[in-house]
Amino acid sequence: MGEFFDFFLNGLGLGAIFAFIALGYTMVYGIIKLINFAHGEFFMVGAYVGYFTLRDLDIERVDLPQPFPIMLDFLVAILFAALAAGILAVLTERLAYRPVRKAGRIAALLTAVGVSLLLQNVARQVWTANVRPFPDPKIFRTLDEVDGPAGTNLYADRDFETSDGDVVVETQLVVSQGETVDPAKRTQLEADGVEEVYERVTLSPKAVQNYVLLALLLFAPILWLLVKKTRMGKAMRAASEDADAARLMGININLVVAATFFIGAFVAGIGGVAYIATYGKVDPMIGFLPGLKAFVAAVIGGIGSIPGAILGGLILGVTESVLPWMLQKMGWDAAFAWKDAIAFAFLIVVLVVKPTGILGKPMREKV
Amino acid sequence: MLILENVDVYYGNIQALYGLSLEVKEGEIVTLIGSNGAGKTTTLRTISGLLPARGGSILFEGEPLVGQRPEKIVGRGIAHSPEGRRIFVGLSVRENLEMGAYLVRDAAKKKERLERVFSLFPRLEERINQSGGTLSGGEQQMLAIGRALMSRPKLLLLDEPSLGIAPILVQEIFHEIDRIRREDGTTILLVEQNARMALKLADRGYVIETGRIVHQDQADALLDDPKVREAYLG
Ligand SMILES: Nc1ncnc2c1ncn2[C@@H]1O[C@H](COP(=O)(O)OP(=O)(O)O)[C@@H](O)[C@H]1O
Ligand SMILES: [Mg+2]
Repeated sequence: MGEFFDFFLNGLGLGAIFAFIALGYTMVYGIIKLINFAHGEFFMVGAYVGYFTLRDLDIERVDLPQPFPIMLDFLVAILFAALAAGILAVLTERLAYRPVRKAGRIAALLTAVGVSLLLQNVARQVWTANVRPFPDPKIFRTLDEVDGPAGTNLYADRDFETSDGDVVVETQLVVSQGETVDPAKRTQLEADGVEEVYERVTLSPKAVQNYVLLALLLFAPILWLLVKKTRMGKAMRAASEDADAARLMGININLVVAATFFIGAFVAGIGGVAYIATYGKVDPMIGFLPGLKAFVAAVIGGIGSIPGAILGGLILGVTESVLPWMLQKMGWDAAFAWKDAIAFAFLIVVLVVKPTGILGKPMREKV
Repeated sequence: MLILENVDVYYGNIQALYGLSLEVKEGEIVTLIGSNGAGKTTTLRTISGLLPARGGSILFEGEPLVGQRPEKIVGRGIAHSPEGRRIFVGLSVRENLEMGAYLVRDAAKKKERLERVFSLFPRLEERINQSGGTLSGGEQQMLAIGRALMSRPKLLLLDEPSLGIAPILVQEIFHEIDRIRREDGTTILLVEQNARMALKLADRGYVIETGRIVHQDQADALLDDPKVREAYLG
């Protein structure tokens, strides 16, 4: 039972990431009936921006007791990731989707596939195809603060001059775990130009999974209020039901569509940081499979439905985690290798049973 | 107040309106009658900016409307209650009405208009928190008209308010349309297939056939016109 619960919670954590991505799919589909294949790439770009924020900005340096510096680090990374993804989505909509909006759904779909490939390739050019490991948060210490045997490895960022005269910053292990930091060692470090060292905090997968779930639990009601109560949210709902009728109310559809893209991608950006913390890596292809699965999640939940996207994401995450575990218990050793196939098979079953998804509205006839 | 002159409208390459001209004067109820597919809805959609006019001109209070976006045209004082009602079924009655006042920022004004709509259609107040989709056809029509009134239009465009509604409710709705003109001074362009009811309510009428105006006269004269009687009042 305990083991089941572990897999279940793990599934919820993964599902929360799908939910973060699925929300944008479902919101955009709801309003312009476009399956935005580039949405996974908005997520990927958000993940990179979150990655660089965590790696390079050293926000953990703020003078607060632990764990607040690390929390702040993540909050800023999430904010930047979300904003970057949101802005990219608005630009994409304006430059690529809006010009073809009247050309029919196939044209729009092909444009979305094109944008998706374009963004993947640009990411590969700009950031290389290398898989980058997650930058563990740092706890900074000045040299006088370390004394005696070091509890963990201590690192320092140091400037090096390359043979062609460029200065590069490199991380160096300066004190190994257990090594004693005495005045002699300190003098030696100072001589090397080290004034400050840091330890790297390895996040436990369970803690990450709980925080990701917590983030979804906090964010879902905010999104709900936004869509349910605000003027823009009501305009979104009206426009997604009937764009012409909404225009007759005085609603500027272009603005509503742009806002929808922004919010959808903003949420995906949050998911991007959740992803790199969960999977411990970022690369230009991470938008592909999670994006596809989030789309599956949106369809399972009922495309166009916001609660459906969250529910679909969580269900898919749990299915992907618990079902292979059960199948393995039943004697199928390779079950985990098949988890993606199992997820897609699950989609097919749901769609056969309920073609509009779990919370999807029955198809309305258009007047 | 509203003048259409030689308006041509196309769906793709297919022409739907041919040099259509009509006028609505301030304070009037004017009706546009004609059989299914004649071009009545097309005319209203062109006025409110949902369809582009390829030729001719549309003037509202002396200013051109052609080429303006629908969301700007509402702001100019033209509200359109579309054919088939097109209410937002997932939104509550209150939210539907709020959408009608989307461009109104003043909460006191919104409240006053909401009360006005409820005084015309008390059933809507009873159903204020129900979702639009749960209303009967007649109630949905009331909601569509009420929603259009929330922008306090100078000109109200009504597209077939009697369509698919029980006769008793049609009576009620037409009675309120008359009140909207008398008590609020709202000018109305009413599109109907139910020519008898529309002509009884209106001051003047136009008859449209395959995208062209074929008759125009005082409403009572049209009611007595043998050709109109035969084609539309039979
Ligand atoms: N969306 C459309 N696309 C193509 N043709 C249309 C469209 N809507 C209406 N039409 C055509 O335009 C003509 C006028 O239609 P409409 O204005 O709806 O007539 P009415 O409201 O008088 O019944 C009809 O021949 C109709 O078939
Ligand atoms: Mg019509």
